[in-house]
Amino acid sequence: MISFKKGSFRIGEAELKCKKANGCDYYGNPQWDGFCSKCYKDIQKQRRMNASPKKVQINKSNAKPDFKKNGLTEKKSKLSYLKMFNTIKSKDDISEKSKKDYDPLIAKKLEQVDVEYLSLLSEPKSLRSDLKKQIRNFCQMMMMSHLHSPVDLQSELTQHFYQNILDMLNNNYSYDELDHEKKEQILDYAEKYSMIKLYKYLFCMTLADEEEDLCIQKRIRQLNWVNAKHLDCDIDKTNAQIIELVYKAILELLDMDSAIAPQDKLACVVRCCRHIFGVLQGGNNGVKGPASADDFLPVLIFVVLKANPVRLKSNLHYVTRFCNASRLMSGEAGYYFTNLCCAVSFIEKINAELLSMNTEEFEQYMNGTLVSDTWDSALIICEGMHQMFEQLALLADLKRRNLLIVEDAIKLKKEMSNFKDEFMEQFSVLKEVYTINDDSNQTDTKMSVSIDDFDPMCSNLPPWTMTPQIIQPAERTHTSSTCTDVDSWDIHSAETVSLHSLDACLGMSQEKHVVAGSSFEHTIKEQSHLNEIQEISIQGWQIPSIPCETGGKIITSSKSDIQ
Amino acid sequence: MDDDTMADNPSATGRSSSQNFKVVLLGEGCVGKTSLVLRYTEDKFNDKHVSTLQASFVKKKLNLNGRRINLAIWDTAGQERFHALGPIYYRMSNGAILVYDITDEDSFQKVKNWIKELKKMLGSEICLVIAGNKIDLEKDRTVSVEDAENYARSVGAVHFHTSAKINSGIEEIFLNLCYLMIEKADKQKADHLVSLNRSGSTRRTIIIDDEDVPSTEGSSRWCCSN
Repeated sequence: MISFKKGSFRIGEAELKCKKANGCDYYGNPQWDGFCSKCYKDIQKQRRMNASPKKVQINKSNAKPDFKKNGLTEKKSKLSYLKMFNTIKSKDDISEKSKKDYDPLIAKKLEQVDVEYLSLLSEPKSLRSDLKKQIRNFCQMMMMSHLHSPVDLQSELTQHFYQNILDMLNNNYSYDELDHEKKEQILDYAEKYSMIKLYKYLFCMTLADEEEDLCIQKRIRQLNWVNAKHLDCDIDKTNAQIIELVYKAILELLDMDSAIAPQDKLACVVRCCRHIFGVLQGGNNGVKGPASADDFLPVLIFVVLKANPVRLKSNLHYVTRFCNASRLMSGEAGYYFTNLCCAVSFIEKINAELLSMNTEEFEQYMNGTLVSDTWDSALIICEGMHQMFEQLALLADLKRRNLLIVEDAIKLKKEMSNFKDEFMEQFSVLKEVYTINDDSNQTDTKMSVSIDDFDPMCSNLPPWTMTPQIIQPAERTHTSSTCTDVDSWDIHSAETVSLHSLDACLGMSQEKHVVAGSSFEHTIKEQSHLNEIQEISIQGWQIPSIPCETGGKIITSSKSDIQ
Repeated sequence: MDDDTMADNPSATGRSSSQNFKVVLLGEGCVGKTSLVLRYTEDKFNDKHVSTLQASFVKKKLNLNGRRINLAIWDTAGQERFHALGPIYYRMSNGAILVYDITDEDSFQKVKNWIKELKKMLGSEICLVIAGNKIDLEKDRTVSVEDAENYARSVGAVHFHTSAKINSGIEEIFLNLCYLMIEKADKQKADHLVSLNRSGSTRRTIIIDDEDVPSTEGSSRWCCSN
C-alpha cells in the first residue's frame, strides 16, 4: 500500500491517462485496468461477448477467483451468474438435505411460524422473498459448517445474521414505512424460523454441554434437601394458592426444554418468573408490595432446585449463543434469563457459607447422612401428610362414586338385555303373524319370484291362478287387493303395456322360464279363444307384470315389518 | 468530513428509533434499591397499591433534548451470598447506580467493593453514579458526606444524596446518569466512526493493493516501456 502510494507520486500524467491506444484523452483508473470508464466498458462488453458462451459452464469454484480479479461491471454480470449457481446449488442442497433429514415435526413447526407471521410479511412485497433468501443462505451455511466450526464462531455468525437482517430493514428504502415494532417482529420471525430449522444442529451439540447438563442435574439432586428456609425465601407454604403458583413456575421451567426457538424458551422463563412474582405477592389477592430482586432471586433458585429441569445447561447455552443478543441484553426476558443464569451459577457454587450453615452440617446433608430434620421440614412433612389425607379422602369419595357408576352400569346392562329379549320375543311373534299373512298372499309372491327363480313349488301354481274363469267386471277389484291401484289406470294403456311386456317376455324367456312360459301360452290361447278380449287381456296382463310389482311391494312391506 | 458525519449521525442514523440503555442497581440488601426505582418509575413509596407486580425490572422512557431514551433498570439481589453473581448482572450494562445507606457504614464499604469489581470487569465502559440513600435519616448518618464524595471523585463517579421516602434527589440521579450514558454512547459512536473510517480507508487501500498484484506485470512493462 505504502509502496504504491510512494509510486503514485512519481507517476506522470501520461501514465494516469486511459491506456487505450491513442485517441482517448480521459484519465484511466487502476480499478479498470488503467482504462477510462468508457473504454473499459467497451472492452468489457467485447470480452463478455467472446466469453459468454463458455461462462455458463463455469462452476462456482473457478468463478470466484475470476470475479475477484475483474472490475466492477464484470462483477455485476458475474454476480448474477454466481447467484444462478448459488440457487441451483442450494436447490440441490435443500432437496438433498430434506431427503436426508426431513423431520415432519420441524416442518410442521416451520409451517406454524409461517402462518403466525403471515400477515406481517405480506406488506412490502419484496420483504418475504428477501427474508427467505437471507434465511435460506444462513441456514445452509450453518448446516454445512456445524460440524467443523467451533461453537463461538457459529454464535457469532448467528448474531451477524441478525444484524444483517436489521441492517437490511433499516437501510432499504422499501422498508421505510415499517415502524420499529414491525421491524422487531420481522427480526423475530427470522430468528424463530432459522433457529427452528437449525435446532438439531445447534442445540446441545458438544459433548461438553452434555456433561455439564448431567453435572448440574446430579448437583441439584444432591441438593434436594435445600428448602426455602435455607435460601431465606419467603414462601407461604400454608397457602394453597401460593403452592399452586410454585408448581406452575416449576412446570414452566420444565417446559423450557420442549420449546425450540430461543424466544420460546425465553417465553417459558418469563412465564415462570411471572408466577414467582405471583408467589412473592402472596397469591392473587396480593398484600405485599412489588417484589424486589432481593426477594426474587432466592425463590427462583428454590424453583430451579425443585424443578431440576433436563438439559438445563444446554438450554442456557443455546439461548445465550443463538438468541438475538439485543433481546437478551435489554428486554424483560433478558432480565429474567440473566436471573436464571445467576440462579444456576449460584447452585453450582452452593456451599455451607452461602446457605449460612456450618460446613460439617452441609457435608452431612450432601452425603445424605443427615436428612432435613428441622422444624421446617417437619412442617413440610405435616403439610405433605395433610395433603395426603385430603387426597385419600378425595380418593375414597371417587371410589364410592365409581362404585355407584359401576352398579348403575350393570343395571343398565341388565335392562338392555331384558329389553333385547323382550324385543326379540315380540319380533318373533310379529314375524309369525306376518309369515302367515305372507302364506295367504303366496300366490302373488311366489309368482313374482318364479319369473326369475326356478322354484319347483311354483310349477303347480300357475294352473291354480290360470284356471280359466270369467271374471266379472265387478269382481275385478275383489280378486286381489293389489289390483286396486291397477284399476285406477287407464285400461287401454294397461292393455298395450301388457301386450308389449308379454311380447318382450315371450321373446326373451320362452325356453328359460318354463313355468312362466306355460302361463304365457295360456294367456295367448285365451286371448285367441275368448270373446271378452278386454277382460282376458287384463287378466293376462295381471299375471306376468302385476305380481312383479306386488311381489316387490310385499317384500318391502315385510321388510319394514321386520324393521 | 468527520465533522459532517458527527453532526449527521444523531439525526440520520439516529435516531428515528430510540436509544436503549441498561442500568443496573447495585447495593446491599435493605439499602433501598427497590424503593428508589419505585419512586422514580411510579412516584410511590412503600405503597401497597403499586400497579406493577415487581420492581426488579422496570422500563422507563425518557425524552432528553429530543432524543428518545429507553431505560431498562435491572435490580440485583444484594445479599452477600449473591455477591459473586454480580458480573452476570452487569455484563453489557451502560450504567450502574450504586446505592448505600448513609446510616450503614458497611453498605458503603460494599459499594467500594462493587466499584472495584466493576472497574476490573468493565473498565471505563460503564457510567457510575453513587447514591447515598435515606437522607431523611440524616441524624443517624454514619458515612460522612466528605468521605463519600471524595471517594466518588477518586473513582470517577458522581455522588448524589437521595431519599426515596421524601423523594429527594431521585430524578436528578437518573437524569444525570442518562446524560453521562448519552455522552459516553456518543463518544463511543464517534470512536467507532473513526475506526470505521480508518477501516474504510484501509479497505480502499486493500483494493488498490489487490489491483496492484495482478497489474505488477503491467506496471513493470510500463516501467520498461518508459
